[in-house]
Amino acid sequence: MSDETSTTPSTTPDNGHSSDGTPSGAAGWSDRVLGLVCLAIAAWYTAEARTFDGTAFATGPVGPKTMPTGVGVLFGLLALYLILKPDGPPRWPTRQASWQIGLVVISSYIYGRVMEPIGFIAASAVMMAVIGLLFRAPPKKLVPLSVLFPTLLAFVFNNWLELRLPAGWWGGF
Amino acid sequence: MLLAFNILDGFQAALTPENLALALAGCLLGTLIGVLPGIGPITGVAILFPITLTLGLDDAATLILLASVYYGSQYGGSTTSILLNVPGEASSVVTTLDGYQMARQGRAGQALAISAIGSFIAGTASVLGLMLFGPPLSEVTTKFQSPEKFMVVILAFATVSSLAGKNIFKGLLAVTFGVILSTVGTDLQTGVVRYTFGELKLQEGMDFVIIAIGLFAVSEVLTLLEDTVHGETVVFQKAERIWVTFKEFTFSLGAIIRGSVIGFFVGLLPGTGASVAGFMSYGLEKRISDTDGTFGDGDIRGVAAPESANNAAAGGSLVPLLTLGIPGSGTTAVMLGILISMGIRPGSGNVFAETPELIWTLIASMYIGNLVLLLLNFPLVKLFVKILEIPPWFLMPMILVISYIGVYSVNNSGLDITIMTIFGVVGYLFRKLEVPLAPILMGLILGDDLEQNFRRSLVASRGEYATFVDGWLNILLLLMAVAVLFLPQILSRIRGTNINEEFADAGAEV
Repeated sequence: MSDETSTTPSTTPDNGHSSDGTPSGAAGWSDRVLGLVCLAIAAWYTAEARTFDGTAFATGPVGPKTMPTGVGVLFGLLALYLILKPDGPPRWPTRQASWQIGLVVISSYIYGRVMEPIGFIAASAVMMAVIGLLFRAPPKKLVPLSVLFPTLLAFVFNNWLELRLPAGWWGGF
Repeated sequence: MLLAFNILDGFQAALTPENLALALAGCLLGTLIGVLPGIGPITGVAILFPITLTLGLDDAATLILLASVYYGSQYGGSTTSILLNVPGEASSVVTTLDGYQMARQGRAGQALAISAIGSFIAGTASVLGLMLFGPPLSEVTTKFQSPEKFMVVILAFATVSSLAGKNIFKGLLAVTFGVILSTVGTDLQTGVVRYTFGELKLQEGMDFVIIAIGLFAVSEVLTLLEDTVHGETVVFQKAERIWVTFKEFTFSLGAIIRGSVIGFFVGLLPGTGASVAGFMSYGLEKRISDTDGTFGDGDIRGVAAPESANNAAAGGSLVPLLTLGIPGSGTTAVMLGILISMGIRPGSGNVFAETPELIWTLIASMYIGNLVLLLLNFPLVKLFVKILEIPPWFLMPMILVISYIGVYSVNNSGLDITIMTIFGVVGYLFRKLEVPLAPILMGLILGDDLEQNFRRSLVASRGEYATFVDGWLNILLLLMAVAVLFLPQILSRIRGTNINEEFADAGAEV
């Protein structure tokens, strides 16, 4: 996680953060939400673990359910600790930044869905263009770079390295 | 004499023209990655590992390439510490103190040069140390039965959680989350399918490369994006020529030697990575040498000491890594994952005896990496600095596209890209909430070992749980785990000094 110091020297501590002592009221809600989510995961995980049945195979005293149960309970306890003793709030992104992060995440998700059918080059070019536009890249540079960079990568990987990227619409090499 | 023979074998393997070319390429690539804003060594190694596999190299060559990337990216991090006041990773935080001051005074060239020379000398020292300490310590692992192996994994978990920084419980939460991820897939002993949501592809389990790229690379891109939107930029100093006079070198030599020794021994201790070594050696050097109060204002020894120490510590931390399988930092955690995926499992067997070719080749190649960096960086630093001028609108999608290729190459599956994206979001949120990411990876990598040894132990003891605290070795390992977790907290309560906060901050970056 090297970049937290590297790119944002100012995001670390001091926005009401105290490492010991429980911040009162709304200050700790971020950690509490995390704790609640983890608690829910722990509950589901542990309940699920109880359904694993390894008795059909003689494997000794401990079957496939024992460790997940223990791990799930431990995870739940740690989540509880977080709910009871949360840290101060982190510095969340501004609304604009949240939007942009959301858009990048969504395009990354869509990328994973469409990369195989439409091909590596097409998918990558569109994604690079979308992110470029988000950052108001000069179109004269953005368009050729978005097409050339994935094309170059596809050429290198398909021809020189042992990997075949999905060809899709535009064909491969 | 057997030792010397092995390291010489390692050098012989590493010094073939092909492997030398790989080391050179790795160092170059690593330095580029290290210099890139926001992209640290973990991301570099994680993205490049699957891509390395597409090269069709043998295991030794893969290790050489990745070790060189690791070394290169560390050096790249030092470069940005000095020129930008932006440490590439936690271990070079302390270098900014005097390094950036030197750069502002127009002495960036000397700072970069002494950093490279110091790193080289420290690297030499730590290879010698590794040859001395590695094999005998590795012998110990042959005495390990399942309960001991279980405890070693617990110790590794404690270690990596303790690197978490301020809130140890978040480290433990992260490591437990990682173990939860490791249970996804088919249970090897019984064939029972666990936590796959009916998805066929998940039956093989979660691949650590996909999770690592999601947690580190994608979340780094998202963080970078946020910073760019918030308009946080950096100003960098120029380095005209990389050089250091003989006088400056001899002036710094004491600091380099002290830094190397401290660094190596700090690196040996599980749970204290390169960042702690840097802080300690800087603190000590300041106490010994700072008679004129020049530390903090651009004293060359203030660069030499921590840069030597963090390099020596990187070497020293290979001892617990290669003998017990306990990583000292996020990057070494990724390296451990890579070793395990090659079938090398330190801590579970004596890797110095079982796979000496690979281990000594790895060690030799790290040393060669030092030399390559020393030669490479002097002429090329200007080029590296140019990298900083890549605009974010190209840099971010570029990293994403390369990550996609890496992830796709693992299974040729689009589902993996979706999983990577999900973990990218998780990683981003965890960074925000100061939940460390490296422990998640450790839990995932070692979770299976934990469970297998847990079950084997109980089979052997007929279900008697006392088997885990039976025998002095078990108790020692357990005590070490507890100490690693809680000693730093207790010490900082007692002392309550500033440096602990700094340690914690640095640790949070691991």
